[in-house]
Amino acid sequence: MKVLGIDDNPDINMLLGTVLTASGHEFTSVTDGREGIKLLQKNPYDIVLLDLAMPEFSGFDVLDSLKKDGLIEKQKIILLTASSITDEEISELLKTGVRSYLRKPLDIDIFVEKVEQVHRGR
Amino acid sequence: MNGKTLAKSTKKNVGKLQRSSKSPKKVDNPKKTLESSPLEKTIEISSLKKRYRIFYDELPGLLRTIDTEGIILDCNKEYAETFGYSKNELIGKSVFDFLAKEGTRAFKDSFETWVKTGKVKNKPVWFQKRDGSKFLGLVSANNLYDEDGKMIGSNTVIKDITEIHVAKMKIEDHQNEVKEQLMQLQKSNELLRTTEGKYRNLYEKTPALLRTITAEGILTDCNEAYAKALGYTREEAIGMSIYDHAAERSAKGMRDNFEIWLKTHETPSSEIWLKRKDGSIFPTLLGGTSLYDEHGNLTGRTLALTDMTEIYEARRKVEEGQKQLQNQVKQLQKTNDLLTITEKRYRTLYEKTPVLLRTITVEGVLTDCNEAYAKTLGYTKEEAIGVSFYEHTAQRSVEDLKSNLEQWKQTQQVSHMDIWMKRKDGSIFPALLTGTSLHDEQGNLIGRTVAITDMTEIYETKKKLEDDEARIRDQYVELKQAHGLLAVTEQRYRILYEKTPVLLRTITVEGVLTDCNEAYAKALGYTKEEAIGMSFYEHTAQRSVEDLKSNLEQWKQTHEVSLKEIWMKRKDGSIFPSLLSGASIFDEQGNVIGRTVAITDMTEIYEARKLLEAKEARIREQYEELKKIDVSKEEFTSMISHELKTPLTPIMGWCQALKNPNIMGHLNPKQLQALDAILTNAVKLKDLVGDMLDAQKLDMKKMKFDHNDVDVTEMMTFMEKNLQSAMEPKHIGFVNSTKENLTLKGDRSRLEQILNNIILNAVDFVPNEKGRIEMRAESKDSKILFTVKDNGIGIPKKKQDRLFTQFYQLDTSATRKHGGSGLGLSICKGIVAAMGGEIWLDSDEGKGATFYFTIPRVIETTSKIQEQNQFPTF
Repeated sequence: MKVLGIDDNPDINMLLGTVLTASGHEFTSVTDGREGIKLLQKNPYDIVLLDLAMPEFSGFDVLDSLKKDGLIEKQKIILLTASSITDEEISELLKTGVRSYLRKPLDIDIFVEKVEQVHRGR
Repeated sequence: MNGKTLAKSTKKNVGKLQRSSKSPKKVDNPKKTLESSPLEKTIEISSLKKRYRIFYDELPGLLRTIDTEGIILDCNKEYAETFGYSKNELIGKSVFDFLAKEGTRAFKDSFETWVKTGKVKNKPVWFQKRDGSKFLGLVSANNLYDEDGKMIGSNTVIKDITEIHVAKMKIEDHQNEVKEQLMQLQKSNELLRTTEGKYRNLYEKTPALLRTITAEGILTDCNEAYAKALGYTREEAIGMSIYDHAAERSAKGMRDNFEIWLKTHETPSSEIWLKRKDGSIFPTLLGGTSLYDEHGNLTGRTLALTDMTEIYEARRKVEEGQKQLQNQVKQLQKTNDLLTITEKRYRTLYEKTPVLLRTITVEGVLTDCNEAYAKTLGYTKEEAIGVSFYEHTAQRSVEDLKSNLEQWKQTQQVSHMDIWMKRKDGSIFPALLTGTSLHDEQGNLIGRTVAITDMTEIYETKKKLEDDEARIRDQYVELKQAHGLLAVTEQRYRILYEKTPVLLRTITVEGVLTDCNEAYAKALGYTKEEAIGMSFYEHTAQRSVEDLKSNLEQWKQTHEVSLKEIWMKRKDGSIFPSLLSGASIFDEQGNVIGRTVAITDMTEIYEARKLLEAKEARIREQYEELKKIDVSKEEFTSMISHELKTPLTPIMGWCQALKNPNIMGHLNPKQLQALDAILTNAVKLKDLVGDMLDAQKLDMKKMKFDHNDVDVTEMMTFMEKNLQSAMEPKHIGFVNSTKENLTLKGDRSRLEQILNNIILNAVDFVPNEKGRIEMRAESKDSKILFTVKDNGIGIPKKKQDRLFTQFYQLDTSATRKHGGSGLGLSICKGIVAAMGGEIWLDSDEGKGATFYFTIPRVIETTSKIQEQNQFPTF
């Protein structure tokens, strides 16, 4: 499957890429939300990993933009969040079309499992 | 009675009253106003005096106070009324001006004796009233002495005894009259007796006039006495008819007598008036003997005629005397009747007078007494009479009475004396004795009548008077003290008024200053002299005039001075803010006459207020800044959360990736060991950052909680399984003993966090061998009680309180050994509290510890704050 990672931290993108590639998946990453949107507008991905806390153009902005384009329903988005966000807030986000979420720091094994689980739930 | 003090206090009070009446109240001089307080006291004393005066005035009887010159110093109402003057007319006059002419000498004697000896003679004196009428007064006196014991006057009681006197006089007059009449009567009787004797003599001794007449009444013979008596010669007389010798008035009598004689030959003795030759007549007593001839034929009779003139004369005289006597007897009777009436009146007076009267013999035995006397002493009259007067005398007065009796016997004068009488029941009462001696016809003293006045009331009055005096004296002393105190207080008040830094002014109801203190004058730039007398509007800034006006009006109506901010104006026109507060001043009648106003210069306060306002503004600014800082702090927190955790993700992730041979290939054991060390420390760092963020959120009450259905029983099972790995290193026996099916609505992850904290804490403290931890959830009322029990080292009691505070750890070595942020339990406490539960522990050192916390089945979190929602809804 094709996975798009949107995170401003390239180290994390590299980690996620390494882990997913090791599991046989194709991984593309961008460090800017706007770039991610551009990619999504061109080609659909199986899974989008979206970091919420990004400077300038945050994960929320990305979600906003995708909602405008009507892409949010078509994409399987997994949020990567900080612990300051409560479950309740996340469940609000889940209602809007986001498929799942993962709290940072990530447990690599759980991460892969989760991604594959969401992909299967198509 | 204490005459000294009466005189003294009376004088003083009079002086005081005059002084006080001369000091009218002036508002414009505060010093005088202040001095009016003793005036009030004086008025108080004057009211006392008034009471005393009323008492004095209302005393029954005529009461006057005189000095030794006989000048009247005072008198009561009855005295003045009786004499017909006003009191003012009487006071200052000499007592001699009110005597009747006939009383002057007696009174003068009595007065002089009194001045010399202090004793008042018990002698009634005639007084003269304004209308010229007189009355007889019995004078008794209580002397007044000065402090040295010198007599300076007396309180004199005058008792009007005119009526008794008049009655007595009348009786005496009548007695004299009767005596005189009796003497006359005796004289008359003697005369009568003499006359009668003479008559008898005459009757016997007078030679009878004899005539012999025929049956026809012709004189055939007469004796010389007859002829002479009738003024005839015998020769002339013989041959005349008897009728020629009969007076006209006796002609019929003679004829009747003649007829009777002719028929019966008897000559009844009868009185016949004979007529002399000269025609004058005289009475005779006719007696006759019949004359008969030898044949027994009546031939005539011889009549004996007795000249009755003298007898008649005597008889007339006797008759006259008798008539006179009769008249005199009648008169006497009349007099006696009168006397009886008078006596009766006298007796009535004696009986009915409220004065106790008794009559005694020279031995002191009662021969009479009136009802009042008997009644007062509790006897019947019959019981009282015949008894020695000593039995009616109290023991204390027996000696006095004895000497009085002796004195009376010798001088026959009954002196006025105070005596204590004794009643039948043994009770006693004070009395005043006055008396009159009784004499027999020979002038021997046979007794006396004593008038006794019950002095009980007077004594009580006197006592009351004394009490009053004492009270007045006491009050005077108190007043003096109060006055002294007042002076001190006044001084203090004045100093206070002057020296207080507060501006003080005293104003009239019109707002004119009557006083102010130095501070006031100085603050307004005036001298005190300039300031006083000015209207307070002149001291008021234009902007405050209206306020002050309404304030003044309000004060006039309510007498209340409300606190008010007023701008004052200085002499130089500059103004300053001030706060007014005041107290009303009242006169004695309770009328408001002014107020004293305290003015606080508010300039400083105004400036202070300005400063305060500036400071407040600054504080507000700072507050806003702080608020901003708060916001940025939160932003900082959020930043930390992200920034601190963000590097942890690649660290921990790469560690995991490296450990996974499928991803990065196989590592040698040493490399794996190093990787584990990095990972363990990364996890620790992650936990520390998490704790720090939680503690900060709790501090700021910004922690947010979920409200989801939580299956507590399932959660406990999950926890038990999840934590097993933590128990392995020490082989701790970890048990979940939850038995109930429990659910609640809340935040599961936070509940797990609490349990984790407590259990992992216990893990650190249980022994390395046979460590045991038991956890349990059970329902407790509307809450769920969680228990975590261990068999660790326990916590000393005195450290338990601090256990839940931030960064508290049992000891530093433990910190090193057990690690942790030192925030764990404080975070637990914060979360439990935020959820509406409680947390506590039960532990003894060395005996393990049991932690408890309760969570409501429905969590109403206080720290769920919606502001700054970073997540707008899509």
